[in-house]
Amino acid sequence: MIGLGIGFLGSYDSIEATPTKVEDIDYVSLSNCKADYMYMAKNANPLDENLAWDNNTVLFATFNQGTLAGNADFTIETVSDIYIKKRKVGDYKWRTVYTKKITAESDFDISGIDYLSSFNQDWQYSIVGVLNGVEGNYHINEIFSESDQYYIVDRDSVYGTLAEQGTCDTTRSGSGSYLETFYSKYPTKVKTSKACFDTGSMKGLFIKFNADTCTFETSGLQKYRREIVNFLSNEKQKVLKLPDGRMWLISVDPGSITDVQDSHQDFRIISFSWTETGDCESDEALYYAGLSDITSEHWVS
Amino acid sequence: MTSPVIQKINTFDPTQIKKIYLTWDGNQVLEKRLVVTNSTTNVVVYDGIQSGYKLEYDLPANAITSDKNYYAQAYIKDSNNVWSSISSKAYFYAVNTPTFDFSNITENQIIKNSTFDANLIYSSQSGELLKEFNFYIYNSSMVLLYNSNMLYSTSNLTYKYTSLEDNKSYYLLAKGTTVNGLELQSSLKHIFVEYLQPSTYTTLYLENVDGHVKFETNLIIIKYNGTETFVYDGDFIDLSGKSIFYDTGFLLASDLNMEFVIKKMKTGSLLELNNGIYKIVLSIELHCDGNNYYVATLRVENGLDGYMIHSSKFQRTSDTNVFKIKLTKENDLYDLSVGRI
Repeated sequence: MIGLGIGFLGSYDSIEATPTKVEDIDYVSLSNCKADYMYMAKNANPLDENLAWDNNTVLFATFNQGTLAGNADFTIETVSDIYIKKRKVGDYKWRTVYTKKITAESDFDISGIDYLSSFNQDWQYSIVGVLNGVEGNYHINEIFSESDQYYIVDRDSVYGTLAEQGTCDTTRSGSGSYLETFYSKYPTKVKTSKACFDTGSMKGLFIKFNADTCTFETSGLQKYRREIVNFLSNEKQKVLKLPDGRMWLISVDPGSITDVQDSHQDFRIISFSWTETGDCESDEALYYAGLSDITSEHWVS
Repeated sequence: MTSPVIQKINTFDPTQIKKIYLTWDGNQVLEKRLVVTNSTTNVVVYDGIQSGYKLEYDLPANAITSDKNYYAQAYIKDSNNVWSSISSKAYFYAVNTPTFDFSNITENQIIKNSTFDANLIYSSQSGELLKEFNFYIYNSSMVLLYNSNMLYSTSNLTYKYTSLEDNKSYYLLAKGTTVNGLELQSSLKHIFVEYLQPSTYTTLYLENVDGHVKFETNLIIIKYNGTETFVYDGDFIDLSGKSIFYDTGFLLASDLNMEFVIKKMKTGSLLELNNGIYKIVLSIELHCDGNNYYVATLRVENGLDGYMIHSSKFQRTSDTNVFKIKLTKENDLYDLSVGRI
């Protein structure tokens, strides 16, 4: 600005509102002392007596024989991979859910989904930094996996139906027969294989449910049901999960899929029968069923 | 002859000094005489003279007792040393200050929501009734943000403060008036707002979504990017003649709360925060006034004249003395403290 031939209010700081404003601080240094720890939070609220990372913490250097100041005990130089693992609360062994090679800082930002955990169950998940196959500390969190729907999952798709609109009945199948012998009052059981698996039948309304409005979405319903029938008949193995915690690795029985009108034309029931084809808790079975990318070096025996 | 007029006297607490204002249309005032009479018994309970030009009279604390009706009358002696005639009577009531305060707020309370229902407690030993009240909210710099309408429901002394922002601090206050005009004010309460987060802090967030468990990492990698090597003295990193700095992985947009514990500090620069242009520097200075003592000095260098604050002075008797230094910055107001632990 020019006034009376004099330039004023022209520099960057001329009308700075307050002489104490320093924003977007992204550098801190500490010198000339012996330091136990340094903690920084992004608000001015009183700090807890026992300092720990929380949602307001931006930096916490504990100087515990190291200089790291983040919430992880590894850096890009000290890990080659990050594993996400899980186990049922009470189990000992962890199963690997997800792996990622770390080549850049941004690789630490990981998000993913795990369709293969049964409902009605407390699960522990953990992050593990790995360097050349050697695992570091586990950063663990827990969740109670729950749902009010039956879910059918394969590699590419997930469909659910509200539990109150569906049913699933099962039969335990096996091999063998009874042999009546001349000298015994009772028959002898003869088992000809190790087969021991469930079969079942399932049916449900399979209608899109808008949880926000608690209403069924009826538009495009026929197309949606067609997708489900195609999904059930795509020959891929699937995982069937029930809200009560039961879960199976299944194949849909050929020719068993029906789509039947129940009362109203939009009220149609899809049903099918299925056969258990593997152990849904087995990393190996899930891998060969095409439902998991976790390769053999991570399988839990 | 002219007489003064006593302005309306609201009900007041006689245990406190009460200023009584006069109106006078005459020569310059030399002295004022105030006579207070119990209006029930017509017994004079106070009669005093105060000199001065101001048209006000300070009725001393405990000059009268509470829970009684009174009237006051005044005389004024002008610059000619002539006393005026007596004023008309100004009736008033004296009552002990009732309890009037927030019942559900503690100092520095942390509010976990954007709304807060503040409750007031009111009680009067004299049976003085509350007539009206309202609520005030100030920001951390004591700038009034909002005051409620006057409320009259004395059976429901509550008010919902809304629009409280996350990670801000506020001051709350209530004011009221009794039926006899006694003005009340609650204590000023400092609160902090910190919304409840969807889950407790973790490095791995988990969520049930559409039949699956969604996982999301919350890893913050902050490392020293320099070339110095450090040695450790137990739990302490030795920064004697060295600096450790962090320049990636964090950002402080505005406010700041910082705490660090150190020992064996040297005079000179201790801590620096900057944004690439401006900086905040904390240094240790030695002062001598017969005894050697230290102060921590915070200097804000943002292109204008340096803003500076000092900690309280502290002494360091040996290298093993351990100090906790706290620095907060809220709305560009700073607070600095150094304590020995």
